[in-house]
Formats: sequence, structure tokens, C-alpha cells
Amino acid sequence: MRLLNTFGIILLAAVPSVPTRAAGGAPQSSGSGATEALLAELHSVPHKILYETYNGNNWELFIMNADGSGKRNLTNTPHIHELYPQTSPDGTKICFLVDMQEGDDTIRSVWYMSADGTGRKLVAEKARQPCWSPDGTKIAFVKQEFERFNIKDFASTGLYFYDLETGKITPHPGNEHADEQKRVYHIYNLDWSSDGKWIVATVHAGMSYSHGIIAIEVDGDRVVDLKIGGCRPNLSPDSKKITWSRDDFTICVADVDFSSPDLKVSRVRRLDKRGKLHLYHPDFSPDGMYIVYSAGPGGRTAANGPGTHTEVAEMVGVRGDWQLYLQRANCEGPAVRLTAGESVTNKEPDWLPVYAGKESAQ
Amino acid sequence: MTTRCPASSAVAIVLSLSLAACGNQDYLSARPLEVTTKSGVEMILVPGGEFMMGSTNGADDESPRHKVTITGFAMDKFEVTQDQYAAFELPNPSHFKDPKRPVEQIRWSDAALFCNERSRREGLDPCYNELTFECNFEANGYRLPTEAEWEYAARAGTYSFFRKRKSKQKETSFGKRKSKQKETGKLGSYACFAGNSTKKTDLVGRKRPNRWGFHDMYGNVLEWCNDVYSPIYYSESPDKDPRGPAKGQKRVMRGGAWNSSVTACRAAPRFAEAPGIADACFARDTFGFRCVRRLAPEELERLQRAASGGPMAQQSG
Repeated sequence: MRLLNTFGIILLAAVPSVPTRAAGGAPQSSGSGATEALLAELHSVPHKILYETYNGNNWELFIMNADGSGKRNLTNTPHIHELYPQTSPDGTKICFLVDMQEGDDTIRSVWYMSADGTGRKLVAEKARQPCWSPDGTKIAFVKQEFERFNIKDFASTGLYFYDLETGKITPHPGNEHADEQKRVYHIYNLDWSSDGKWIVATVHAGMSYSHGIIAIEVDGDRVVDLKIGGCRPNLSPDSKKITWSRDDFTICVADVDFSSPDLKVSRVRRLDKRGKLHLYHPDFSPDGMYIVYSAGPGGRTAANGPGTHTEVAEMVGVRGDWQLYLQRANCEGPAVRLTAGESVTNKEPDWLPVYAGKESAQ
Repeated sequence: MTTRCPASSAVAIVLSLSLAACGNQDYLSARPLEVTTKSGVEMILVPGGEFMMGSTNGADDESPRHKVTITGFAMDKFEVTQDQYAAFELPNPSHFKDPKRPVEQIRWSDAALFCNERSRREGLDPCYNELTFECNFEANGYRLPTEAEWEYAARAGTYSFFRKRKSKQKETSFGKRKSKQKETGKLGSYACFAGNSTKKTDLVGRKRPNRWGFHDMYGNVLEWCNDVYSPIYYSESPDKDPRGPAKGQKRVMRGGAWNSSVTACRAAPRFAEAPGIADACFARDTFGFRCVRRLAPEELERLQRAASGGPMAQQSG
């Protein structure tokens, strides 16, 4: 037989241990000192974690404390599916996706609201994958590729910027670029660098790339391949570090230098890797100390409820037995599981910064 | 001689596939009928028959060489192209973009889903359960070929389309870059492979077809088959229409790709890869496919009428 080689995995660090957890409540320690120390540490972290939950035939946005306690439903809209929360850098606003069923089709749109869940405003219809500019005045997003909805994460075209003050949408200069390598399409999972100059994203079968993570110049047409493979990048608040899913099973962290001409990525290390558990959606905490991420079994899940689709569960709008985990961003110590619940999906976490005097979401 | 007839009924392709359609063993020398489906895809009506599957001097999993009987079927003349894929408003996963190049970087599961989309578009019954990916061979829609069907179509009534031993000699006699022309040899006329490619896929149909009219069977992209892979399957497979083992981790791929060596570009080599059912991202830019369909007796009859100069043949102009 001639077996084709599969993608290799870089072995970078020891596999962290994962504490056991009782269903329902806050994470529980397996008794290890390291786990207890991490939980105690998280107890004093002021920032919250937003995430999407599927329970009772509906997607909602939930919010919880950094240690997994204090979970509550932020949206409370039994007939509207809210997904993919992204918080503004100052923690006062949240942009997110709404999926509406129209016959057999889905209309996915980008919205934003205040961090307390009030004041919803539509950004764009048939759009997806929003992220905030570092000053919180704009929301970047992509449009769906075809008139007909497709659940695939890379089924996108163009890059657009919504101005919160004027409501005006501006296309990225690369959207219509004659050069295939600079024409922006098939990107997803956007994140805006803290200097405002770059948007990092996954590209799949687009812009002359097979698959990978690229940086797109916000006001120009430069496109830089970060050459780290994988997908779903997220930058630390100071944009000096990047975390991403190296493959289905591995989350990595590395240093990134946005001041260097080639946006050099160095010192790649492994944050977490589990046997058969898929790991996705890593997100840096506002202080850069922690990374929260989703984990669950691979394989396609049936569209077995309103607002769900048959696909692999790392994609937005697909159910699965997925839960949230947290680890120190320095890759040291154990991972703790923050959520649980039979037949409840919890994924796509995003930190909501809470600073002294700004208890916006609480 | 090729006969063409457009499909004109709600059931898009009208095909035939038995020895009778081509006159006993004439299929070994005659080129089978071609049709165009309702969605404009050219297919070839592969006549049913017998052939010797496998190889006695290839890799271990190519043996034992054994006789297999195949029921007739219809198979795409070309690998599925990117414009065919885009016509279904599916995001094109290909690395080497061009409407007329084959779709690549496609997972087995997405190829199967495409088969279902194409079936629905033409009012046919989808073959695949979209959660379990179990294939209903009784459905009249499109599916991926079994590896027996694929090899049968690739051999096109011959035992050895290319003289393997000769090719091997060429490969060992000449260095990889020493004599590209000689290495390419006959294969280069029929296949886009490492010896003649520009390090990417070629437009489909640019190379010569095989004896039955199929293009790019030996090169351009590897082609997903429906079968689960087992290295010992040839020792236990049924004589008639083998459909692969019931369970396994990988699915079969056949043919050669734009980066394949001469020895890989033959009818017998068996490849296997994870189907991607559980992997969202990764499939290589050498992975493509083409579709097949089973033929109902009434379709066969209609085709025979058309081929013999009936109203449908006249419509073809």
C-alpha cells in the first residue's frame, strides 16, 4: 500500500494534565496543587468570558467569570440564534452573529450591542466573522461567498469595515485586486492587530494559498504569510503573541513581531494537545496571561435542532459535545475545564475586559 | 466511434450499460457511448464486463490479481472541474484556481456531498447519508466510483494501458532530470504527472483520453473512490461488483497526480487517505474526484433507441 503522508505535528512541550470536573458548576480540582493554584488565581481575575451556547433548541451568548463560575445567559432570546461573540477592546460592546432561518436557507448577519446585552444594531446581512478595530470604532467582517448560505468557514468573499459612528461600510482595497494573491477572499477568523495596521486571518483555498494564516494590511495591499500553518489565529492584546490551532488537536502560542518587515513569528510552543479531542477557538485574556479555548470530539454532527447544521463542530452554528478550557498563556501548568453539560454545546469563547470602574457587563 | 446524445428527460442521463449495448465483447475495441447530463456534464457509458483487477508485480496490496465482473455504469469523462463545483454555489477548495482545472484539496466527505448536490440538482435520489456517509448503491443518483469500477474504466478493456515494465526501466535508466522527455514517454501524452507538469494541475482534458474516452485517469489529481481501504481486500473481495470493506479508517484513492512519479500513474496502484469527515481543514492539492451513476434498465433501453437513430439522436443534431 502507498499511504499518503498526513500533516505532521510539531512536538513542542509536554501534554498538560486536565483536571476532572463535576457537571454543572464551577471547575473542580482533581486535587493537584497546580490546578488549585490556577483556579485560585482565576478567581481574582476581573475579566469575563463570553461564549456561545446551544441548549434548548437555541443558540445564546453566555457570560461567566474567568474561573467558570457565575454563568448567565446574556441574550435570552429563545427565538433568535446568537453566535460568535467578539468583545470590543474596551469591553463596552459585543459584536456577534445572528442566524435566521428562511425556509431551508439561513441568513447569517453581523450585529453589535452594548456589553450588557442591550441596544442591538445590524451591521451587515449575509456576513460573518466580525472583529473589532483596536480603538473600537470599526468592525471588520467578511461577506458570504454566494447568495446561497454555506456553512463552510471559508465560504467568504472580501473584507469590509463598518464605521460605528457613520454606519458606513467600506470595502478593503484588496477586494477587487487584479492580482490573485492580493484579492481578498476565502478568509475567516479575523483579528485586528493592536497597532491597527494588520488583520490576521485564516485563508483556505484563496489568494493563491492552499491553507494557512496570513496578515492583510488594513490600508494597503500587502499580504504576508505568517508561515505557521493551521487556522483560527488570535493576537494577544499587545499583539506581541499569537495563538492558533496548529491542527485539529493542537493549540500553539508564539511570539510575533508586527514591526518586522516579514511579521516574523518565533518561539513556537504548544499550549495544549489532547489525544482524540479537537481543540479550537483560542483567545487571549485582556492581560495576556491566559488563553481560553474550545474542545470537543471531531466528526460531523447532525443538524439536530433549530439553527444547527450538519458539519464538524468547530464551525460556527454546528452543535457538538464541546466545552471550554483555560490554560496559562505561558504554556505552563494544567488546563482547567470551565463548562460542562450533557447535550449542551459551549464554544467560541472571547474574553470581555472588565477594568476598574467599568463593570459594563455585570 | 463515439455517439453522442443529449439527455432530455427529467432523469438527466440516459445510459446504458450492458454488454448488449455495445455488442458482446466489442466493448474491448469500441469506444463506448457518451452522453451529456442535464447539468451539462459529459459522461461515458461504461459497458459491463469482466476484467483482471490488480497486479502481479506491483505493491503487495495490488495482489492477488483476480477476475472481477462489473455491472455497467456511467462515469464522468473528466475529473470534476472547478466551474462544475462553483455552479452548485459551493466554495471552491482548490489551490490552483481555474474554472477548467480539476477541483482539488477536496476531502472525501465533500466529494460525496457534491455527488448528493448533483443528484438533487438533476432530480435524482442522493446516494449518501450526509451524517454517516453510508452509500446507498440502489439509489439512482451520483456517487464516487468503487475502486473496481475505477480500475475497470482506467484499463478500458486492456490489461496494461502502459507497459509498466518498460516505464520502470525508463524511470531507473534515466535520472529524474536527466531525460525528462524520455521519462515522460507515452504517459506524457495521456497524463499530467511529475515528469511533465508545471508543478500544478493541468486543465482537464488537455491530455489524450484512454481507449474508452476518459481523460486524466492516470494523472492531474488522484481520484477519491467510494471504497474503504484494506490492504488485504483483494484476497476476500467478491467476484462481482466489489464495494470495499464495510469498515476502515481510510478511503481509497486511484490514479496519479500532477506530482506523481511514473510508477504511480498506472491502473493498479492503490492509495488511501483519511476521508476528512472529522477534519475541517486539510486535504491536499492532489486530491480530486469524478462521479459515477448506476443505470436502470429503462434508461438502458432509452439509450439504445437513441443510439440507433431514434428521436433523441436526431435531437443531438
